[in-house]
Amino acid sequence: MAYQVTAECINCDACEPECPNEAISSGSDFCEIDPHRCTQCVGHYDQPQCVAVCPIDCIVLHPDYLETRDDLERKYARLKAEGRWG
Amino acid sequence: MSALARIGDLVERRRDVVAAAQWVMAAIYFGLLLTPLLAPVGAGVGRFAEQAALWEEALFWGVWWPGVILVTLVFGQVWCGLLCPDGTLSEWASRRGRAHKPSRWLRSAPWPILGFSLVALASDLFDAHRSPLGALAAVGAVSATAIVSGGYWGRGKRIWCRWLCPDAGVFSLLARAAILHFRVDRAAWDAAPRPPPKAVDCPLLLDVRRLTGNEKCNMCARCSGHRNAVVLAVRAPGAEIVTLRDDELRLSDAASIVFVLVGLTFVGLHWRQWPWRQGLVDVLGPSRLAEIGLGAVEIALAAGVLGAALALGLWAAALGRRESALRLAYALVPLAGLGLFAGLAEHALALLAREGWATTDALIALRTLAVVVGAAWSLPLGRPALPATPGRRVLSFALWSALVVAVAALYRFAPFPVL
Repeated sequence: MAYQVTAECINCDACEPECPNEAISSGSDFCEIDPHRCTQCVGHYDQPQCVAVCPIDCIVLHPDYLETRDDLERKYARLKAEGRWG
Repeated sequence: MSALARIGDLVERRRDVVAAAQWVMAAIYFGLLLTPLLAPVGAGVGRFAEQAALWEEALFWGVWWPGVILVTLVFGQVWCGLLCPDGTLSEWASRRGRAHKPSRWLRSAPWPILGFSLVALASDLFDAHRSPLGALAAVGAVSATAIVSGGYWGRGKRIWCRWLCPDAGVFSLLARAAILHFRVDRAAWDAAPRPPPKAVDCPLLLDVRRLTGNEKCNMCARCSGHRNAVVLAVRAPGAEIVTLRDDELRLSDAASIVFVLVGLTFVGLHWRQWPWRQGLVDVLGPSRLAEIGLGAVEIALAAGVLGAALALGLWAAALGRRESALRLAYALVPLAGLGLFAGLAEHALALLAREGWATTDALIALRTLAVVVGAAWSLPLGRPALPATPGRRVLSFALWSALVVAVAALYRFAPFPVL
């Protein structure tokens, strides 16, 4: 699954620079995560960095994007192929 | 860039100086709290020590606390963000503690105003204004809780100040009338380069991007200059109150203003001197148990009666309209804040009077000045609550004016403190 930011977000700017996939943006009122770029940090870290740094636990799994570990690894490979990293 | 904005940025850059000032203040604070316990005034203590204890009591209760109330009302919660010892210690503990994220139950209940009410009652029961042990029980317990909460919640944040501090229950109301605030340029924020070079450093975890008021802002200036969108700025006194949108009006705030900021603090400061009250004690008997048990109940009851009468007055002045009554409650903040300031400051003058100083004229002048300024500040803040129809508008304004005068008279003519 990709992650999403709930309306409890306080716009602290902590998560955006931590995302290795550049999936997080400011959004109209609070931060947003592009589900097509979120790999739950699979391919980069052992745990999701945005969840780790969020001071109020407002980043939760997105129920509309059910993905297995294999799906996330494929997504990571696709993003890598786009040439953002490595 | 304005001078104020430069000051905000300077405070943001010189965190080292602010931190040093905070630790000095913490040392002074705990010195004032603990010294009377370690060196009690009594038989065998010299005149110098007695005088020192007197001045210390006057400084702690009669200058320090009213000073904090006045500064918060005029400039916002500057004390909290820059000097408060409890906040300093709580943040210090939070940097070394278990770093739990604040739970939903912590964030969703009005703990501060409930805590303030409990501390006010406890201060009265423990005789905190006159007894060093009572002061330690009431005020010291709050400091201990601040440290413990910091050790449990937050990662170098001030969870205590945001969701728990009892004083914040009142300060967050007073700060809405203040002339200073951190103004956020939303367009500049959104247009700033991405990703941001660092997270916004708000120890209270406020949504700075959407910050529009002083309610929870501790004015610590750590967000000053973030994304080139946050600046310290001046505004008209009470501007935040008159521009509150209908969806920002809260019944809980109005109840806090009416029953706590006015009701409980007035009763706590003045009820024991009230002539009717002594008659009640005479009827019930002089036992200490009755005195203690009655203390909390009678203060809560008296505060409830005063608050209910005030709420009725607001409802009448609003001509029965809910939103207008809520707006008028917010408009009472300056008068209530200055009434509280005067009531606390009178403690120092009463102490000096006990030592033979002539302070009656100063007491009268202080009260008169406080209520006149408070009434003149509060009265125009009620204007947005008035109805549009000319006849009803005149009636509503007349009732609102009468209510402001009545509250001002209550503060002005309350019995003087006796120590």
